[in-house]
Amino acid sequence: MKNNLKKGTALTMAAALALSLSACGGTAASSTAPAADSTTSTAGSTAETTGAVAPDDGNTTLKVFGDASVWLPSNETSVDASPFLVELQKATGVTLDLTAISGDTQQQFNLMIAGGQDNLPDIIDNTNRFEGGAQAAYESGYIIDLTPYIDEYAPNYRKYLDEHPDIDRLMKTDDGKYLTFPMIRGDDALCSFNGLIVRKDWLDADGLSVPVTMDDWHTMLTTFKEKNGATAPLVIDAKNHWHYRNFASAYGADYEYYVNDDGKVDFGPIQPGFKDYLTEMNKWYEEGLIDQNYLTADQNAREAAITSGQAGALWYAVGGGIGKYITAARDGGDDVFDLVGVPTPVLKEGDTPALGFKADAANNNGLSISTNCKNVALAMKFLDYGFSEEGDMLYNYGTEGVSYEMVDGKPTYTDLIMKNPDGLTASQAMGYYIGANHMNGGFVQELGYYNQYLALPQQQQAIQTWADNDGAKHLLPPFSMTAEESKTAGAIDTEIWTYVDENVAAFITGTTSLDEFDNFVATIQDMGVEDSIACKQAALDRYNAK
Amino acid sequence: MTSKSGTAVAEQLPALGKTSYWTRLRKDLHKNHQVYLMIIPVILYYLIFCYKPMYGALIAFQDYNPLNANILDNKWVGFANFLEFFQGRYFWRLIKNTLTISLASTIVGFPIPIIFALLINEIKNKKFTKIVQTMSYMPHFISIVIVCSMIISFTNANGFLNTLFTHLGYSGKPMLSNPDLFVPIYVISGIWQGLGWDSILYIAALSGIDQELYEAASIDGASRWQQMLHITLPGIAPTIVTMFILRMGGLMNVGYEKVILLYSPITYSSADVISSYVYRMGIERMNYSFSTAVGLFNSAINIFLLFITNRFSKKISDTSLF
Repeated sequence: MKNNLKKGTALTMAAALALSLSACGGTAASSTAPAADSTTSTAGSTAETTGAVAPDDGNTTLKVFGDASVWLPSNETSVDASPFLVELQKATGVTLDLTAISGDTQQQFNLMIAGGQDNLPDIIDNTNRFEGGAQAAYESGYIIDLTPYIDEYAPNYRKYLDEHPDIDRLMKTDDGKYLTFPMIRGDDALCSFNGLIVRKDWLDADGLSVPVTMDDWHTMLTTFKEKNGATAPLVIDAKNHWHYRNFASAYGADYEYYVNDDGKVDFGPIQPGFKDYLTEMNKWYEEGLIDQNYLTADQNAREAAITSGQAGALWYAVGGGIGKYITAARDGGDDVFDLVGVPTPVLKEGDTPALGFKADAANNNGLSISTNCKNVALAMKFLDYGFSEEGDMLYNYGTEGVSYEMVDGKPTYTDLIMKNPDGLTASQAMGYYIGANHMNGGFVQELGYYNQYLALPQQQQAIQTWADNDGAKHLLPPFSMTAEESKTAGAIDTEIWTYVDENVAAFITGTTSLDEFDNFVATIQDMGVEDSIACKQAALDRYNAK
Repeated sequence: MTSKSGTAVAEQLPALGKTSYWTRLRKDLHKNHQVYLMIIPVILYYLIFCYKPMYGALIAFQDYNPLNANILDNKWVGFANFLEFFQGRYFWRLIKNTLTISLASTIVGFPIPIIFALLINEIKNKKFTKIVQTMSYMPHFISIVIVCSMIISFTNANGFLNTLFTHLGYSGKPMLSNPDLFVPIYVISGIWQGLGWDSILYIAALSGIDQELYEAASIDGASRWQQMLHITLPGIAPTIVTMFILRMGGLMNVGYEKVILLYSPITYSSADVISSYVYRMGIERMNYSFSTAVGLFNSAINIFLLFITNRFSKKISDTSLF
């Protein structure tokens, strides 16, 4: 009987079908294998462009790889849809061939890199996406050293660096190289654009003042829950360290590598204060003060929580947060909804907050030129344009008569930006006509733009409040690690963060008892945190010696 | 019962047996050239998409740098990447999680489509059968991203499943933040997704059973239960065994898509599997050589398991793939 059945056609088909599935899924080494293979198939045509500027061959097209959210107005897919980019191309004589990525951008960046040298674009945006940043990308041969070309092809950038030695110091690597064209924040006020935000109208209704200490926060969140019906009084993002850092800093700890009071690099989660922080967070979570779903919630869920009155506090941006939510509420006919930026909490009233978000005035996360670029001179000129007077106006204010007019000698946005006839918000309209609020490198962000961009008094107040802390002492400066250092530290850090993220989540939600904290610290030390600290300390020492 | 094509091939063989292999091949090529033509695209498919990329697995033994145009220019490091994985802190946890999820899916998920197919087979109302079958296929066609969003929102603190279970005594915490619940959620939702689709093969096999056998059995006084035990089950046994062998060959394969859509740091302890680890190391950290080594190791175990199960099955049931 068995023998007969063995010949059944159904079986044969089943075997063929299922085997073909398993043959592909099971034996092809991994998803990276095909990518690796595409490199080999194009072997033979190695480009030797590094070092010499190719003669101008009349080709004015530059391939650019960058985020759709940085380069294009929201919901647009082509360069032609952006009057800003059209003007920029006209002014520089360059035709942009933009590969705009969205979604999981780091993943797409990594896949582009895996394609090998022949697939590199001319200009790479977000250079920090390389593991180890610009320095490591240069050492591994992905991007070129700009130093030999700057004097000749980027005179405006050169001039700016000469006039601003503090920026020059940020941009120069330890051995004096320039690797990227940054976005320079032209004023200190432009650096503190993220911070803690709470519902001002709820505070007023409950008779509470702006929270300063951790106790104030506890009282406030409890009141939000009991009186204002918030189901998730504080929403946090488990994937963004800042959502932990703000509160951890009150206890002399951190959720990152940081510079301690002695000026040495240290790791926040192994500090004794971190246990106190976890104890408090666990209490908040158990009491329902922290979003119970915070581990699985995404940005949309958090935004919905704050705009629908489920949440009363979050950490987010002045433009995309305060500005967006208040505008949305007003547009929806809600005149009560109000937000206020509050300082990083401290333990005792009168203490200065130890930390606060502060972006670097300039760093190497901007635009770099790849080793596959055939026309370095053209790319340099294109990236230098934003530092010229003309370019500065285009990036910050757009085109005169269209997006701005000179009023009392100051460039002032027209109604096309501020009261857009198509119903766009100022920020969205800027996405079309200017570069300052979305581009990532190759220009100086001006205070004149920022003050008009932050049209709401709540926004102006927030950036003042958020800037007032000791963050400058504790945040790691934009130092550069060597390829070797970032490899060592990278391997250790991946393992450590997997462990820390997992266990902090378990401590906060109460899955693991805080009695385990000493083991937690011991394990991190066992994973080699000291070696990672040493790499960063060496880089910091070199940076300080510059 | 014996298939016609099977006997035809069997009868031809002795005739060809005397001549040399090449002569036989030429004759056969001439005689069956349409069949050979038909298989060419399939062979090409395997060569181009499955075998050629395997060459890239070489990077598992290298310190791979995408900038090297020739893959052989990379530095050779022998088994260093494999050792790094074996000695890594998470090695045993990854193996344990992969096996737990896979075994749980197999033990619970493997018999259910068979039972479902048997039940469908017992229903005599054809229209009702068609409706039930079609409905059961539906979840298979829903994108995994949508399925996972549904799972997340159903199991959240105020999701409907969570609320339901809270009434039955559950603590009300988000279920996906509980490492102990990850495997059940993964397996049960997997059954929901695959139940109908996986039963197709069994239903097809069931329809191939000779109806005369049932008539004969009922004349002999066999009850429906006895008919199922002695006719239906043996009838589809080869299909079941084949599916089981294939399933065992994929024992170490837990797809990363559903895992990375459902897990979060707090559930790493039960949810992080080899494929999600490979994804994090390779795509997120650009550690291409390391993740290829891990993937290669995984495939090697799978092939080994496939052979073992096949051997085993040949011994005990005389059914095998090759």
